[in-house]
Amino acid sequence: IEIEEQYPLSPQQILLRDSKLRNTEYVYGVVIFTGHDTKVMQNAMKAPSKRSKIERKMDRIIYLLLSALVLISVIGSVFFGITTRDDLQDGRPKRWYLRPDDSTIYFKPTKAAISAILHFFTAMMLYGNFIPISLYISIEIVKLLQALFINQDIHMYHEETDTPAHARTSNLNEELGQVDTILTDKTGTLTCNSMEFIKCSIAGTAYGRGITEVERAMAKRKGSPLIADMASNTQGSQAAIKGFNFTDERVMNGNWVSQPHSGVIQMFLRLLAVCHTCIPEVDEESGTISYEAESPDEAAFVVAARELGFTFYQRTQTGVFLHELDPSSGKQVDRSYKLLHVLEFNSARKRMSVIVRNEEGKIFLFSKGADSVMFERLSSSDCAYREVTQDHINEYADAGLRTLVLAYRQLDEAEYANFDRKFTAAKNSVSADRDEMIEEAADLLERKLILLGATAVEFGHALRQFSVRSTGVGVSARRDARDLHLPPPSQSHSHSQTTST
Amino acid sequence: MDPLESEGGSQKSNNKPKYSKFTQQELPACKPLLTPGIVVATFLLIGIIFVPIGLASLSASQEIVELVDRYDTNCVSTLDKVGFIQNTDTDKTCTRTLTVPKHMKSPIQIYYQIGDFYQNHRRYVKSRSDKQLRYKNAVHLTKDCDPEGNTVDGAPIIPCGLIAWSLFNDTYTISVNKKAIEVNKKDIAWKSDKTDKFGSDIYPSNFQKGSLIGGAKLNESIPLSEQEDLIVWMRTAALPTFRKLYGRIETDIMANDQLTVVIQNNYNTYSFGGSKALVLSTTSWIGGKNNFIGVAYLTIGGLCIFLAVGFVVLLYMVKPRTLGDPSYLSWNRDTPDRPN
Repeated sequence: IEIEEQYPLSPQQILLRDSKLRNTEYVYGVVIFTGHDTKVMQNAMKAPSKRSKIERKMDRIIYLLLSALVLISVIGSVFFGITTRDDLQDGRPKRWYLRPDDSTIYFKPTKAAISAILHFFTAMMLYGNFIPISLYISIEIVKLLQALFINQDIHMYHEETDTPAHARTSNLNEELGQVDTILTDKTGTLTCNSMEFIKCSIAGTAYGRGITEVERAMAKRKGSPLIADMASNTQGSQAAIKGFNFTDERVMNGNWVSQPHSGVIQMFLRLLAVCHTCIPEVDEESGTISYEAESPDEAAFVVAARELGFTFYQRTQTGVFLHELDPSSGKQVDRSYKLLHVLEFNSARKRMSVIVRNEEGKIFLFSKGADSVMFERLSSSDCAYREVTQDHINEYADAGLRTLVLAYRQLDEAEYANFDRKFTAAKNSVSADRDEMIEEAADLLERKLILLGATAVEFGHALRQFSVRSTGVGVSARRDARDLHLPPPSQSHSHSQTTST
Repeated sequence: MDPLESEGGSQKSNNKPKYSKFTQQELPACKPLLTPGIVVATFLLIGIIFVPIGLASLSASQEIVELVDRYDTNCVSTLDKVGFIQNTDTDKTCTRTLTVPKHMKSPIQIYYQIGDFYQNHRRYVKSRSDKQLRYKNAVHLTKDCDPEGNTVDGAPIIPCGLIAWSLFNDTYTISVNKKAIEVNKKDIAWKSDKTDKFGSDIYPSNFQKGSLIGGAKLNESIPLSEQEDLIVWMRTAALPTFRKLYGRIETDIMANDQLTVVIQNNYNTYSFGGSKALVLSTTSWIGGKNNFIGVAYLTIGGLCIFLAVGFVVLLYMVKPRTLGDPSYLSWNRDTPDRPN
């Protein structure tokens, strides 16, 4: 009996509102949970009006003056009516020089009430100068000129992105400088979504000669100008690549082939190029490849692998494709890996794994994760460079870097078939303990791993740009699960001394 | 230098704003710093300038000799004052006697003063035709002059309007020590009024010919530009109590002289409860008798001197402190929640 293939339905397949679907030829669609009762619809509200404090104050002043105008006109009209009525008493004129006996409706003593009402409108027009209606126009012109000055401000120009200030509307010019607190999710915000691959440890050997900001600050404190000079010399010698700040002649430009542990290095770089969820984007004109990743450190890993000879250039539903540097022939060869399963990263697991089958039919498990969970899953028989790698990880953490441990394992067909059956059943399950079943199935395989090494990634320099002390702005950041060795965000780099737990 | 880097730099368009002192708001500017010394010096300077001006103004005003004689109440002895004044057959002559307290130097201005007469009423002040008073071919423009624009048979009244119609018509004859004094009634109107606002080829016509007569009649053989009583009256007053020039006396009047004024009490101020008075006054460089300017300057000057002395006492005796003392800054102050 042939069984129809089943696919799991998980949050991965849900397309949220305003999401975009790409690299997909066709889909089966199920519309779930829509309408006005959904949270996104209930959160949708009318945008508040952008009116500044000056305009609101001006409104109050105008209302006050309008009230005064009406009050003056009313009082004047009442007295006008009283005196107009008194001008004619028993047919005898009182203020004879006004000829109240021969008068129009505006000054008629016998109809003083109507004269008073008409005088109210006359007074309103005569005293209309009370209302400074041109004040709005003057304020608007002032704000327009102010916006021009904002656009021309050199201090508001951002050099990296070549972006000047641009005041799109002049309504809220004077509200600048009103910010007193910035509330931010830490991920990507304080670090500018920028990670740089700077160091790594492979087979117990440390690679990478870069100097981190923390190390430079400590060296300056200790009075060691040599390190600072060396760092500045090194950084100026090559063109900057986004996410890649790695310098080591022993492994760059294909030199890793002649290293003692070239096999381990090859597997290390292959893991970096395969074990991720990035999507490559090839520029049609220049042919360069850029990567879209869930997190910037994943992109940094793939960029590092590319710079060291393992270029990831294509991904399909079932496989990933690389240009690999072949150590035996010294040339770039195309390799493809069939992607069997992806065991995603989450805060409980603190690791990510992929199961792939190479072109020769061998099955590998590639894994990367925090050292606290990875070291306990290593094979106990392999102790050659475990302690050395742990020491390197501690040094990287002291330098303010974020570290991950890389390990792999080869599987046989029977073991994989058993895992595949259990994992697929767990994924297709719709019971409440689905996540636990998935975790249990994955745990069977992520054991007896072979250690390859560790990576070190430096955060971007966004903290420097805040100048928190001088502005008096308080910053409150929420830590997330990926903060493995992150210093407290509100402190400067020179004070961060984080050790691994 | 890296050729790739320089090439990339030249290709990229630069959006950086241009630098200039104006666009970066770095133009030099004067920012006055109000130090205690500057403030005290300014107040003293104002006081020193204002007090002498006030004293001089007040002294000039005090030198003016002014005689005010209200006559409307005493000149009519009957209870029905309105009936008396409106009756054309009654004798309205009134004789008033005044004693001059001080020497009055010529020229001596003669004013009539009316109280509670609203020349600024909107109907009254609009009831005139300036074109008619100025141009000969505009005699028919009498629309604004209602109800004193035309006669009953439609002929235009020159000059028209309530202002001209209610022209003041009391007259004064003055004797000093039983000897008649000539009153000069020339040049009592503004020169600009005579030359620019009233035509020299326009003569009164149909004036005071209606059933109601409001004021003086005009000599129809004299053009409007020489009817100075009319010109003075038609410059309307802003307040209900006002004085208007009647004439001048060109000779000095000695102290203790006896003035005898024969008044023709013709004008009706009794209907609306107004008042009438005769004013004789000398003049000085400040004009008539007016203490307001002097009192104002003295008040402001005295206030400034008082403030200057107050600042000196406060800053150097009561509570002295250094200019720009940093201990007053908020983070340098000892507060209970933030002990230093």
